[in-house]
Amino acid sequence: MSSVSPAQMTKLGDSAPRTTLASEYRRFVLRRVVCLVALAVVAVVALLVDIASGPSMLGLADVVHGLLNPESIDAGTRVIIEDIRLPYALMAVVVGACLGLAGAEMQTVLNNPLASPFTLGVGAAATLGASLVIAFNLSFLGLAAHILLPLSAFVFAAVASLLILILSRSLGASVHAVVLFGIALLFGINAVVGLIQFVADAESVQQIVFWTMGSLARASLDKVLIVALVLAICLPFSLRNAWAMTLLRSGEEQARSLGIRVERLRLTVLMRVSLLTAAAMCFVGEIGFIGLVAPHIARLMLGEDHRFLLPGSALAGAVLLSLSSIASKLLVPGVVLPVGIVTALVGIPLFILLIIGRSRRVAL
Amino acid sequence: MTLKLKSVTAGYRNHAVFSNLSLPEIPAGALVAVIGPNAVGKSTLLKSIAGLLPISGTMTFAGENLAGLTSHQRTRRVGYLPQPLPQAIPLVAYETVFSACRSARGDWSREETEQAIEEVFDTLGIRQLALRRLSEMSGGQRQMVGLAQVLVRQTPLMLLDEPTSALDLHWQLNVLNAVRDATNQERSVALVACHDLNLALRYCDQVLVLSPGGQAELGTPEQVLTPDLLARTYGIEARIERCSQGQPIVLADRPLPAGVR
Repeated sequence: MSSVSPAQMTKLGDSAPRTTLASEYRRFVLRRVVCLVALAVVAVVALLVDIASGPSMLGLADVVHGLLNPESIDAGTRVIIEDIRLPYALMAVVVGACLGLAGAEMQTVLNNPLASPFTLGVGAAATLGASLVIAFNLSFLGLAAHILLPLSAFVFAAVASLLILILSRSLGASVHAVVLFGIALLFGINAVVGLIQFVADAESVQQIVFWTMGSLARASLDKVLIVALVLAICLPFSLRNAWAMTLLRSGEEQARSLGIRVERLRLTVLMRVSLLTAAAMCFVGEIGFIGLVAPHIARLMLGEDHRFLLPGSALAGAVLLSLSSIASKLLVPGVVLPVGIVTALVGIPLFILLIIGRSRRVAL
Repeated sequence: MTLKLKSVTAGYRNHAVFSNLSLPEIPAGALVAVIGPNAVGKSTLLKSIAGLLPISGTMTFAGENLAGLTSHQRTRRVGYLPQPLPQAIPLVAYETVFSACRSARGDWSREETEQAIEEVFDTLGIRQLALRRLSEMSGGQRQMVGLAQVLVRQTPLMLLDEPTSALDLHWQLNVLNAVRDATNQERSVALVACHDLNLALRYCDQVLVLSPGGQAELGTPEQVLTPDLLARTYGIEARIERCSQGQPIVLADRPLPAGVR
């Protein structure tokens, strides 16, 4: 017998003035919307601080003036803001958002809190696709390397996603089977990437290593635009599936009986995850951790209703990578560290703080 | 709105759990307990009627061939409660039920949806759980939320797979009363798989007994639940006696040796 009987609570509640559940729920939803807006505000502030920080520190007021009215600031500051810092900072936001969204969707459809594009080898597969193009200087159908590289990263990421899907289905989609297979895939791909590095020339090896560290240094506004476009295309489709994903998380059989085509949903979501992961990675390389932790941060703040979780996870990813970008410039004065190295250093304390805060609230 | 099953075979991949199952017509308003030993196919039967497993044979409900329904039509007609409880995730009960309405009852206006949710939380007596997260609930409380997901849709056919497995006595009676009311008032049909024979005797109009040999018997509890059937089906020696209020009760005395069964 459960110690907290709902009957007892109902009896206690009967004496209280009665409001409709719908109005109580609307107030509850409003709190979530406020939470989401707050997260968006934090993302904007982080973006501005990211633009302001660097070897020559700028004031936040200068940054805002520089963005809103470029003529009002001196030419030198304008060049720093527009040509150097802005693409870099925007890239952090859009890549973080892509990875946050991809991670949340993957955790949902694989029903596994450990799933992320990186822990299950999808990111590594994109690296393999990129490494092949870099190391063997491949050309295909006359495509230039800067087009072929992201394309190859995408194709490999998609194949890895499909392999996870097929195998998890044939093994009964148990949590252990998916995680084990994903980890095996990760090690297998890393071995092949290692082999490619072994046979590649020194310059290619340097490029591959640079890719695996993840860096925002090569960002430009047109590259930002491409990643933002992919995000803008994927996000509405993600939100369209929000109800289905919420139901899938509460129980697969119940979702099936409610008419959700679970296999088709998994397939489309995994394709979207590959696209988002490849788009996020193709210009900045491997940036792990965000896809794993951003969904958990969003879940702690916003719960599991995917109408809020998906945009929340994208925003949490954007905030995390923006903060990481700031840290990568400030940790060692005068040196910009590859951002992929910093993400975990920034993300873990934030994550632990949220977990502690949540457990205190639950204990109260 | 009657349910008819004729020569139905269902199972998983190449393994048929039951074959050629035909049942007498189940009338509108009937609450039917589906009983039988473990692994006999109770869940498989409910899943196959719910359209979650491929079948051969014919299943009709209210004159419509269930296999021919689109998934959209099916969600309006058939409510299915699976055996696994809703997962312990940070989703509040209200939105768990709301998402089921959004998916299955797109024809309802917002007011109708809110009204239906309000009613189901009151009927099941779980109003105070509405804004609690599933991750902060006990197993029994989550099972009640799962039931609310099914009952809220007001489908004329309900398939409930062990709906009281995680519930204490108070909630078992509460749930069966709610299902009984739905079948009485809406003339809907409910099939409830359960292991508690006394609950079946008390609440159900009919009992469907699935036996390991693939036989099925359908009838009123008093017709079907006999010591002989319990010996054949469950391998137990049991008595059917009457309590002080005249209600029949099953008393299981001992398991029979394997050879006798």
